[in-house]
Amino acid sequence: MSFDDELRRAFERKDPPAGFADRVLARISQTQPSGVESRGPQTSSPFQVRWIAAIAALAVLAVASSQYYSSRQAALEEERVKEQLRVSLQIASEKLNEVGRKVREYGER
Amino acid sequence: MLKAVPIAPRADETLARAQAGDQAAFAAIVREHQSMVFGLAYHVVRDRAVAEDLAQEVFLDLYKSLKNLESAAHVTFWLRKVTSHRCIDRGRRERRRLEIAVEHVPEQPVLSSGRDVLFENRVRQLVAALPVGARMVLTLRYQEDLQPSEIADTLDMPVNTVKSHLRRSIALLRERLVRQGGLM
Repeated sequence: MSFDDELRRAFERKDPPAGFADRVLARISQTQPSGVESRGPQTSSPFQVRWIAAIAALAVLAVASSQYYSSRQAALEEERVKEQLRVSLQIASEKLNEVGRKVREYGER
Repeated sequence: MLKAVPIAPRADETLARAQAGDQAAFAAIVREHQSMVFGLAYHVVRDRAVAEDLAQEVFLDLYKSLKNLESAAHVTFWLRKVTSHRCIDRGRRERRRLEIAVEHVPEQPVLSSGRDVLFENRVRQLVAALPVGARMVLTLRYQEDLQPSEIADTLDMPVNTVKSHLRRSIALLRERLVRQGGLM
């Protein structure tokens, strides 16, 4: 018998102690299965959770931006109306002063 | 690269059933491969309890990875690879306990003919004195009858390193056995 054959004999496969497969299955039943098709309720993976969180954050941002834009537009409109009123009052005041000045000139004659 | 071994279509069917959650099919896969996995572990760690624990962990990993395996041949390749890497990791962690200096291995009278249990024990003792990487290479070569290129694929090791391990380990074993009169 050659040295290689001797080595093959020395390195033959070994059977594990009896009940090995049952012990493996028992350990599997104690752990969460993840490599086979799940038959229980579906749960979201961390990847899905991150996507959902990102979409929710974008929705909140969009609503907040819309509200800010609306309030900003209202403030600008208010400023525009105030300015128009101020100009109108200024014109009316100048006209009244002109009328008063003419009335005083007529009275002096 | 997968080892080109003829595997019955039935083995692929068993894999498909195991992937679908059939526990009996997974048990059949364990029984089919347990002597390979346990043997690889035992020849490297030299302790039946440690080898069984390691082999169980390999099959737990297999269960978790079933959906990624494409065929029965892939399962065999995957088991060899994962078992080998786990053995090497375990062997490195427990090097002090597992590696016996060649000088301290007691010399025993050995017969060289027929089925010689003493010879086999002597070989195992000498192999136990080798570094864990070399032990793994020898085990894959002689237990699984793999070629150096297949061993290189299994261990993610250059093929020249595998050949070097084989040359040096076999020369060392032969020299020690001849010196002890156990090899003619």
